[in-house]
Amino acid sequence: MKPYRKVAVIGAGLTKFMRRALETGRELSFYAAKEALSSSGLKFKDIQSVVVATAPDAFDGVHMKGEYLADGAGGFKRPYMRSYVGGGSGVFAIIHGWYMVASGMFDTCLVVAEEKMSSCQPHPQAAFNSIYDHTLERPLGVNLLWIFALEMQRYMHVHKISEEEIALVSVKNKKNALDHPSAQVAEEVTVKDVLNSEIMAWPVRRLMVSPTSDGAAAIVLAAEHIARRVSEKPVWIEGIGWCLDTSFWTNRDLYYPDYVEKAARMAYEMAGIKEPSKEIHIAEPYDPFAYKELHHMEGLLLCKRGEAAKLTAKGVTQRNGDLPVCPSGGLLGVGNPIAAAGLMKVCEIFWQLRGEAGKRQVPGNPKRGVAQAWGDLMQVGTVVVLGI
Amino acid sequence: MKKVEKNTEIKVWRGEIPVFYLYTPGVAGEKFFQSLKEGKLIASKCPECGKRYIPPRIYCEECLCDIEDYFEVPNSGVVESWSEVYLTADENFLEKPSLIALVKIDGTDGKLILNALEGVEIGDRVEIVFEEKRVGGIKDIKGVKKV
Amino acid sequence: MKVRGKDLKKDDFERTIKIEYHPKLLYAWDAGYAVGKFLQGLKEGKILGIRCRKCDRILVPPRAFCELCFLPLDEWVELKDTGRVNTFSISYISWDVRRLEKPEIPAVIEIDGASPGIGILHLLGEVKPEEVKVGMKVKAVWKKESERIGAITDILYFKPLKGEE
Repeated sequence: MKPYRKVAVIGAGLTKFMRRALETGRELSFYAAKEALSSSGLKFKDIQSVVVATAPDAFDGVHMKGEYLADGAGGFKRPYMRSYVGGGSGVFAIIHGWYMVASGMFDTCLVVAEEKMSSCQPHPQAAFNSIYDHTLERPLGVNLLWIFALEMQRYMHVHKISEEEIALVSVKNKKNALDHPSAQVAEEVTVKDVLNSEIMAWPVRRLMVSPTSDGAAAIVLAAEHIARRVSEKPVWIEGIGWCLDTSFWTNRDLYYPDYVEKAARMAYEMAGIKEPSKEIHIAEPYDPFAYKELHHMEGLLLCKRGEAAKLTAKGVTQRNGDLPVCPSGGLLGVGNPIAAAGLMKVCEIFWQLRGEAGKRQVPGNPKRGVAQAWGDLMQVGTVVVLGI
Repeated sequence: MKKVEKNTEIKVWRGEIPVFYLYTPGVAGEKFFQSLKEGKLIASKCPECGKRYIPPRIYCEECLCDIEDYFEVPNSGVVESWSEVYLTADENFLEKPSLIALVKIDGTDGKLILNALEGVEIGDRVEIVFEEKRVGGIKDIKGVKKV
Repeated sequence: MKVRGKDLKKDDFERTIKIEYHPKLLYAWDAGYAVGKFLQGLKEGKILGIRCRKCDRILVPPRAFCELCFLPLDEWVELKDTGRVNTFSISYISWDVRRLEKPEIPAVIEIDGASPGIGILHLLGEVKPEEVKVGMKVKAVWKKESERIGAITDILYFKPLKGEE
């Protein structure tokens, strides 16, 4: 691996995650960018480059959405790039930002992720349909939920996992989110509540799905010499990885996210991690659906295939367990403004490693965390390993 | 197994993306539209650099700081550019060509694109004319005419 | 940590001044070399696949190049119109989030004659939701020849093949 500069995260900020925000996308980007900047110790004039991650233009209904949001995100008259791999954008953005700084091109980078889904009518889900093949799939009357339900069914079938085991993830994350200030759908639910919630596309039930949301997140990246000067506790980017699988999703066996494993291996190799299940102290895998947390835990090599459900049932993934997973409350509890959701997870690892996560704080001084996002047609895995 | 044959029969598959949008105007936008309903224009000013935005914003793009200072500005300005439009968005001819003008609004550093109710030249002083019936939207402004 | 944002309840959203925009997003997609021939095959009541000479996979839906070997493909294979259910779902929600009285049953169906694990997305019919199983053998139910136009919907749905497990 060629030598590169060390890059640290020195500030982070979030907006509330909401079903329908009054604010425009630009205003949301501003709130998050401002909060990240205020917490970083830098001034706006110190920001040399900007990366904006935002998922399909079709949600906000604004073409060239990245450029539109740029001035709210600090992209005014600065080198700016848009980062986009569907839901994976949130973590792709920090990877993008890493490149800006590690290359030596810039010393600082403001990374912002935003989504405003509520503008899309009749329902934001309708905009997702264009993900499917226009000739061979859409005429069947497709629906975004199908693809998750089909994957969940396959995962459950291959590993003989029950609905109850999957429901435990919803229970954990929605409860964890009660301590998150941005949370949109935090609540105390039981396994019974989850299994009694309405069937949307079996085996997916309403309480196993994250909501559509408006929201933004932002972080500030700095090169080593600046990070050490302005920040008491810089959080270092130790590894990055990303991988894309084929869009011929009906030709893949959906029970295992191969692309997440490849992305994770890339990140772990860069970070020098040989045994992820022992060396990673906190994990924030992408959890738009309850089963996805388990699916991704396995892809991130945090446990053997088919084992994630057992670890959850034993309580290993609780905040005070051996491997806390989604201590933030994840997408199931905090909300899912597509691109911002991934960056929200990065923010969580940032605060956790610095001991600043308040009521959500994982005990035992965690030193290393992994955040992962996922997107497109069950295709992309983006992974970042952070350490302090 | 068959060799390649020309398939000239199935060429095109048609479809659409059937979504529409309801945009909220935002925190600043809501105030702006409210003022338009009352037949007034408002702008907002950055506390650090003093830049005056119309339409108003809650943040300054140059300083990235919060703006909370809104103030009323005169319903007048100066034409910076204008054009005569003949085609619609999907390239059909308009029944009657329309005149539009880019107007720098007095008391602000910003400009609006508005209908020109009569022919204008660059540098002309114009006044903003409001509609009789207003709902709170950019179309509450009927257009500009020379002073 | 300051967390900002004004959440609107449904009624507030309805009352707020909003701007409505109906984009006209109409598309005419070129079927392309591979899908064009696939659709032609469907019109004739056949499911066509395509074979990669290098990795020996027989693929459906067919494509103009093998995405693993990065080579152009031109060896067409006629596949059967039967297959096995790889995974399925029972959906009570429409594409625009309305509740359906009668559920739809989408499934990934591995087509007989294609390589293992190679399937297409389609719907299941003539079966009760509780009777669908992963691994079930199914057969295509086609539209009448005069009604077929060269579309994935020339197959109405796949139904269970009785007596073969």
